[in-house]
Amino acid sequence: MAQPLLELKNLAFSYGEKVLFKDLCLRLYPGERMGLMGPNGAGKTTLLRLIVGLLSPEAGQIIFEGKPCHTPKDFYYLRRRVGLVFQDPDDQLFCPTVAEDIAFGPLNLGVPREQIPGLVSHVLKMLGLEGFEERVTYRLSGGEKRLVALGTVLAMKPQVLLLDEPTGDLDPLNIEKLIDILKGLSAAQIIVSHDVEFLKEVTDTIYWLEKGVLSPYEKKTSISFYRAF
Amino acid sequence: MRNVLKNCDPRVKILLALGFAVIVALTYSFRVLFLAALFVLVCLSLSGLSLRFVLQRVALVNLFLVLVVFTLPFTTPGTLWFSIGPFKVSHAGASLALLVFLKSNLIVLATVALLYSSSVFELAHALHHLRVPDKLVQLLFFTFRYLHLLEQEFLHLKEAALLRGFRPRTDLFTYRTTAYLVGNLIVRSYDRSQRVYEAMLCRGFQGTFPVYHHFEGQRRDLFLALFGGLYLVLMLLAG
Repeated sequence: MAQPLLELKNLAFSYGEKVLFKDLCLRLYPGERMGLMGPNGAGKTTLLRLIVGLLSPEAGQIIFEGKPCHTPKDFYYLRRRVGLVFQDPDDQLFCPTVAEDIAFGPLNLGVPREQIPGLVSHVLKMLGLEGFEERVTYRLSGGEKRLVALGTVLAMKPQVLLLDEPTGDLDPLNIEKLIDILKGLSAAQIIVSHDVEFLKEVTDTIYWLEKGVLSPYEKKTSISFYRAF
Repeated sequence: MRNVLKNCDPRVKILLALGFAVIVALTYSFRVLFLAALFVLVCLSLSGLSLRFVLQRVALVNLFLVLVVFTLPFTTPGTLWFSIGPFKVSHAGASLALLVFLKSNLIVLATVALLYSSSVFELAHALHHLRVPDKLVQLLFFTFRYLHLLEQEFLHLKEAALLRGFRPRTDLFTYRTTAYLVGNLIVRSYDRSQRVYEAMLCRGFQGTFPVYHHFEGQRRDLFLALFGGLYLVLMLLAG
């Protein structure tokens, strides 16, 4: 098989006493769509943050395109190609208007200014939010915010897309829309979600993360949802 | 004619506001202040801001000024103007109080008129162009950004407390609850600001603020720079 686009090798990470992973391995191939489930606090979000270098692992490597990433510069390069959409869209959107927010990433990447308005309207069209350019971001509805937050990352044309609970407060219609958008992308994806039906629809494989161990998701493991009670 | 200032180059606006503030702050001449007032009137009429909005801003500043303006006449030595009981008002004191009052208000009004029409994002970008150190620009931008977040978090917490029947009284319970609210506010806002910063990093943020609507030096900006600059020189000469 081809070289993995992104590989996590023997990753270890803990918050103080609480050990999240000791020896975690994961491979993501170009165009692969992977779902990630697990109980609350299992470290799904942490895993995504480790991948883009917002946290640094205690041991192990993050390998992107065959090159291990260690320095901030490595991760700066990685983040140009690996886009992370945060769980809370309010964390992601900080510009006054939708157009400016979507343009922020591409402008940072040095996309020529003349191409920006076209790119913004293309992204908005993809999201089914035509004509939203001048809308004020903090006055959007929850669902619109979530889609725009996705758009801010899509505008950077990432090779890998990391999504943290993208279905959040979306209504069923918007979830359908999201499924279509994600299926239409060529980027490899890792999607963290609690929504099995959604993951089954979008992703090729679903993994279960619990106690630092990543295993293929099977129906029976869903019992551990209730173990806490 | 309204909203003309909104579309002007923020660099020109920043420089004009800065020049104006320095000249007005350093002057002791009422003639200069008269010219400054004219400048402010023109800027305000070009800014497209509503009178009500401007007055609100100015009222806030004057809240701080009240103390100064009411103590200066009584505390500055000089020839006696009039006295109220044991309190003596000097000529020098009264004119100094008036001077301080006028200066502060004019500077605030000019700054509001010139800069309020630009977004903080644009101003941050303009400061980069004016070669202000990156760290200072980021400080400015994030201070604004996080003040806004702080307010949002505070409103959330307050609502949560009110919804559970909290009513502020003067007892220990109220003080403790308020302390919890403030403590929580600080922790939460810090976390949130951290996440916003991280989200920016994830989108290739490197310390500079690229703007969507790029400034292009237009005739309008040249006019503003030329007339504004000349007027400031005139003010200097009048002083």
